[in-house]
Amino acid sequence: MPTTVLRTKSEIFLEERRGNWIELQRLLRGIAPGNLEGLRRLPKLYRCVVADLAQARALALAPDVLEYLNELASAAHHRLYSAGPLSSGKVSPWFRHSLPGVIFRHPWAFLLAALLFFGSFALSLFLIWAHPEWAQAVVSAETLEMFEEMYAQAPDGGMGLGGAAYYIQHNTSLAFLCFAGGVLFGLGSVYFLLYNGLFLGAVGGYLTAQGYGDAFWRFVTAHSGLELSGIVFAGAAGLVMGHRILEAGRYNRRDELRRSRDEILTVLAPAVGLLALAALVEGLISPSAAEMSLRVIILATSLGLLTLVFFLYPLLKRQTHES
Amino acid sequence: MARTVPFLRIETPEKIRIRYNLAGPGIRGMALVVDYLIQGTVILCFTILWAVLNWDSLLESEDEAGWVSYFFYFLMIFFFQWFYHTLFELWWNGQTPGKKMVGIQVVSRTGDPLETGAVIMRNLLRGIDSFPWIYLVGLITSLVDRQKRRLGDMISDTVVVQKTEPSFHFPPSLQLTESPPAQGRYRGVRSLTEHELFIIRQILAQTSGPNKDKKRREMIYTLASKVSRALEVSYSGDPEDFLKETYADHSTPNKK
Repeated sequence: MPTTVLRTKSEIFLEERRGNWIELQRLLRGIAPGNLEGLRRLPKLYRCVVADLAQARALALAPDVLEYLNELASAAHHRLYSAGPLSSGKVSPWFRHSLPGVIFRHPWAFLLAALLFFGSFALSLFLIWAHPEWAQAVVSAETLEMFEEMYAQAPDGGMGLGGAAYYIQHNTSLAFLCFAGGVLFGLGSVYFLLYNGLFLGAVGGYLTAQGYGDAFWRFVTAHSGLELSGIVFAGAAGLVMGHRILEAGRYNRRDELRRSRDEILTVLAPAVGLLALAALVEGLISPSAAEMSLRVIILATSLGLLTLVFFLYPLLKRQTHES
Repeated sequence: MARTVPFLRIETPEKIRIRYNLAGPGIRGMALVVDYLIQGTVILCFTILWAVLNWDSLLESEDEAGWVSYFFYFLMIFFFQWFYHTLFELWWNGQTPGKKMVGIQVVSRTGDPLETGAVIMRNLLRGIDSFPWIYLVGLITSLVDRQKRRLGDMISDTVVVQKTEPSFHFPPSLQLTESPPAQGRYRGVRSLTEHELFIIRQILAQTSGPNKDKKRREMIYTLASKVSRALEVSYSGDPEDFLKETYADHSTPNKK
């Protein structure tokens, strides 16, 4: 008995075009390294599929066809329009021009961050040095005990890496939170800057009051310049972000953020570098038996370089520009 | 209240609109769990490796060896916390191993290529989104936001969508074992859309088994009455024949 096959418009459409679609799907799964022809076919097939999708929608074809074409087109679109790697051509000018002037472009953010952080640091340092029993208001008792143990074990500053590791992880995370908190209209940054300062000052004051002052200050000298400035940079970046969210100006908040994102990351970038360097110094030099003089040299060098890169260099450039 | 549509629509440079399914907090949470498992496994492997290597010093005194491993532990945890997602999402175009396994992807909200700064920014903000410890902040924002974004997504203008492997079962066309039915007996006010033909084909193609026979006949009867109402024609006789005839009116027959 003869069978009749009934084909609707969708099915005819499908049969005519499916060769292309199957080929595109195969290419999307992977193109072998030497397959130049495949590379050439990919964009062409993508445009065919896109045209087929547009036509299928116009003809109001069956939903399974439409959905399949949509998925195929989106997969191909994603493969073709994926972001390329960061080119060195963009990085170098950024390094030389955008990065150094960062403090001068956001003076208020840096001033505020420095004030909040160093202010609370100094306050808690001296306050708790005078009244060590208040340390528990900021730092938990177990943490204080842990620090005491660390310094008791190595009175000449040669403590193990373990304590350093805790310090590194805790402080760097806290610094990143100083940045991330900026998303809450800057208030999170304010909070974390204050908390960070209070915490570090409390630890310092407490340990000094308990008699471990020598060991503590010996330990922190080398990396403190790097770490503390890293925190200030992170906090400033968070404040800039919070400010941009608040004062969107002529753009809506989303577009404003899109535009300012690079700038915010430029303020944050030195923080990452500084904190990474601080971690390195903190892990290698601070817990070792290095002499105090070496540590002071490192501190001075780090602060000096910072001043050079972020203050003197941009000032000089500005002068040569104006003259 | 505005109807929330769980789609993201982008327009490509080819001027076609592509639709993505948005990924909600449930599936994103699963991807996170997978990522955590991977990180945990790596840490576990490291622990085992270190324990094996340092077996003797472990037995003697734990001071020296302990501190070194502490250092690497914290370094690893720190790396995983802040850099794992960033690096993977940059390398794999918006996916981490967890996301890949679950089938979701980070895309730019406008369909443009994912920017490096966007990936960095959205992952730096995990600090706030993951507060307190179980992504409560991120969970709340992604439930409230129409595009299911967490804070990091909002700041970096990204969205997480489902990425499915396009698959298509080319369904068998409708086959009639009898000779082609009479054509044109039912002239309706309009023709059936492809979608409607699709439905008819699906239902007619269902084979009848012993239990399904009654159900199938019910479905065909319901469908036939719907079609006759839509076309504003009335039919007499077997509803299945009616459906087959209207289907044949809308398709091209092809003798085998």
